[in-house]
Amino acid sequence: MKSRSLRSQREDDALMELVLPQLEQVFRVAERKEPEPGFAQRWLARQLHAARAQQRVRNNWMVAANGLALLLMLALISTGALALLGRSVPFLSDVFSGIVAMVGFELALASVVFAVISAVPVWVWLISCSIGGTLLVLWIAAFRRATFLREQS
Amino acid sequence: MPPNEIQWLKAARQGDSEAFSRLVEMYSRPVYNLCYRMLGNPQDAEDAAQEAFLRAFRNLGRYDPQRKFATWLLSIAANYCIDQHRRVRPVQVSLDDAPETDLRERGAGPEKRAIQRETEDDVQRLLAGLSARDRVAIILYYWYDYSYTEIAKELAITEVALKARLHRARRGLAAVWQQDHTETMFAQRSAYEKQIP
Repeated sequence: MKSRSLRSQREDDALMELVLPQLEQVFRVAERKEPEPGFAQRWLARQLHAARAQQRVRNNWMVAANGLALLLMLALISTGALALLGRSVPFLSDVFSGIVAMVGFELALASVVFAVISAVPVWVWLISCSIGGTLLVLWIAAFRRATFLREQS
Repeated sequence: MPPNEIQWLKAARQGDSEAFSRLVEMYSRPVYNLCYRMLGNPQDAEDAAQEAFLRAFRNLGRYDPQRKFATWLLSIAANYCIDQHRRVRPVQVSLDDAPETDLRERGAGPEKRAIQRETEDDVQRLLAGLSARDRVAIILYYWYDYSYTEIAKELAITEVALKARLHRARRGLAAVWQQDHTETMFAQRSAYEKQIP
């Protein structure tokens, strides 16, 4: 058994010794293959395409993640709001009655103001508005003049 | 490393694909040749070489400038080709179907062309009989003249493992070579004997 394996080993070695130089010669003389012209340009186009595809995938993930976050936020807010509403009914009724009282007061105040305005004759309003308007125009003119003079100096 | 290469690498690391395309131009031949010898046909070789450069561009941050850029690129290409082998067994295209234009352009005579084609045929048939890992070791050893240390580092194995792999591969190649040539010898002899009345 041992002598057989030894013989086979020797045969292997002899084969290698005989064939290996021929094999090496075949490999050494085999030409180096070259790509078709324009390889770098094709690579650039491919890189651009790959970058766009990557960006698209990234955008899709962003949209999905944002959508999920929004849904979660809405769910949390609605749950929280419902819980808060359930807990604070007495407080809310106080706020509501306060608002009703405030609106009532403001309505009363408005009726008093209307009464005062309707008591004053129309010509008094007209003269007051004219005087007020003239004073405003005079003030603007004076202000512009003063600014202009400062810029000149 | 040439000074231009350093500049292009620096720019490419900042995401400049134009600068990297100059490196692609520079190294397209060795990378393509490796892919061709690994996969056995021009279409797959082109695809694999392009993909190897894309991977290199994406992973430039991991590149160690102490290492030779060509070696790093070739290791990416080699690993990609090994993965391709694992995924699909490549279809071996006969060299009779391959275009002959490149040989004609180089002005080779018909006899020389025939010898070159025969050699090509022999090479691809021999390589096809090897496993992807043995094949890459043989290719890097014979076509790229890398040292054992460089190949071992590239393939992430020890030098002892690489030597064992190369020995196994050479033995396999020798067996195929001897078988092919014995058959040819017998065929020639029987043809000769038939001619004799």
